[in-house]
Amino acid sequence: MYSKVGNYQRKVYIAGVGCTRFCDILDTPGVTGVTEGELFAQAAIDAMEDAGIKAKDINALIHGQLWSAIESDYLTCGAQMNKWVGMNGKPSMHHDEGCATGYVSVELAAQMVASGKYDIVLAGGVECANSHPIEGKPAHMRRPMGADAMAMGPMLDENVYTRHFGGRMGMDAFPSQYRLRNGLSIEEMDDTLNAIQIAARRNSAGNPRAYFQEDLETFAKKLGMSDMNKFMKSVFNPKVSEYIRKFGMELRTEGAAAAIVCSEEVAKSLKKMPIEILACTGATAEMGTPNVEEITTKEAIEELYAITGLCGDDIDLLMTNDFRIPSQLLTAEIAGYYPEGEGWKCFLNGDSAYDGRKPININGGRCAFGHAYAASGLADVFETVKQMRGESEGHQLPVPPKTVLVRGFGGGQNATAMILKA
Amino acid sequence: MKKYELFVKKWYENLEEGKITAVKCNECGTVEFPPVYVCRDCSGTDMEWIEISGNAKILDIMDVKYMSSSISVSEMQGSTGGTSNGVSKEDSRPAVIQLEEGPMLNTRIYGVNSTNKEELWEKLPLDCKAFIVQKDGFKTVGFMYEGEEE
Ligand SMILES: [Zn+2]
Repeated sequence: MYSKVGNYQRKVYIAGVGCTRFCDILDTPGVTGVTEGELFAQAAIDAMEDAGIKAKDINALIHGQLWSAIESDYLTCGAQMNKWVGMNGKPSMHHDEGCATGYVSVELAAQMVASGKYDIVLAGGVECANSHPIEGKPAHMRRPMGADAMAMGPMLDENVYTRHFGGRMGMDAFPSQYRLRNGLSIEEMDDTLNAIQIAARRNSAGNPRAYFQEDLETFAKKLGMSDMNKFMKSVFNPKVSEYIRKFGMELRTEGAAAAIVCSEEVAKSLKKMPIEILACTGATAEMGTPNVEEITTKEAIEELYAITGLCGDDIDLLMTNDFRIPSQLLTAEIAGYYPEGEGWKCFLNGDSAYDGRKPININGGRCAFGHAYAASGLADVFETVKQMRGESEGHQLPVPPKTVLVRGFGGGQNATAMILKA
Repeated sequence: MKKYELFVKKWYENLEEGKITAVKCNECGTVEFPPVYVCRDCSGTDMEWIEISGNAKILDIMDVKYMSSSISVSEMQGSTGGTSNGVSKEDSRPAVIQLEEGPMLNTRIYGVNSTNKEELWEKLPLDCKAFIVQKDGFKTVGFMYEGEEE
């Protein structure tokens, strides 16, 4: 336990949320030519309008973006966003915790409000992760990301010892450990991960903000295949590592998302149903640490449950950053949302889909909704708030969830967890 | 002003001299491999250099064969050819290793390929031995699966 167990100094709420579509800038008509500042502002303005406030009402800005130097050709990127959202001259901070960034943004904003320092904080993230700036040209001119993008992957490993061992296990580590512990055959693990992929795409179908807006069954039929078991193991969905197939990999996209975090007094003065942030926790380990995702996720969720007094049975919806699809299985079991050692059967049963018994990643998650790194966590918070209010476009759960666990994970090292309460 | 030893430089220099080293916490005896300044168990900073025995257990093996997040581009390129100390890189896989001295790490196991990986995986944990791997302009450490004891 690293937090002092107990509530925040004062209650903290989310009053408004915004999210752009997650897509390819260069491939999407109407989006081609958009810049980082515009994307960030689109999400931020949506969040302000959702909350019923204006930029002048906001005290401070939290900005998240990874790799801003490489993919956006600028440094000190937080400051560059202030003027796009009408907050030039106001306090702003930039941070980067890999793919966990958007989740950490919410926690930072929550702490700033909980401390009493600010009443309203805008937390936003933007990422243009699928294309590159062109040297010497203004930001609306971009080029496709090529092999140079792949060169960024190793930069996630520390450059002292681990990178040179050549032993990064990536997201195969958990399926391998899970098989060792629970005695699954290779085929059972394959079927489980395929079932998660199918449900993820069912969840993103009809979501106007998702990258993939049709389910895999429809996609397979277009290719002349109706047997989903065959299709999921066909050339259309090859294995890209020992366990993970193509549809179980993140879709690198571009987009932005934002949330307005505020005090109880402010939240109760606004029109929309306020969503309380009960607690946020986190744990971090260097990527060369064996089983890093399990270790850090366990720490974060145990602490979250200790602070809130909640357990897996209290959770109505689980959202988890799944840039490799096995993360859903890992999180569902650690959170006690699915039974330990039996979670794989729940996925085979279709439980994780929007019409299943216990839905996960109702927006489709990173492999179907898309992954715009620093924006992804805020996109999950966006989806959660909309579902809790019964406002989700295209795929509202019939019974709006009341208690939602949102788990972040990123850069191979940072796990976060938060409870949002209606 | 306190003087700090340069751990990283020394660790690589020791490899050049044929020694695979670690540091041992003088307050609690915990071994850190590879070396860092602060003990993970007791937070002690009084570290002593030791040579490791090289004896280790393989706890997990990945059969990474394809492009994925699991391995760097240079490793991927390396895996299609070349040798390390005469051992083909095609005969190596990412693995979780635990040293006899305690530390666990994600590293690379040699002597494992797609033919024997699943068979060996089912027999885990298995013994292996640390050895020095020559890279381009520096040395690092790998682990060798030498087969089961008779
Ligand atoms: Zn110690």
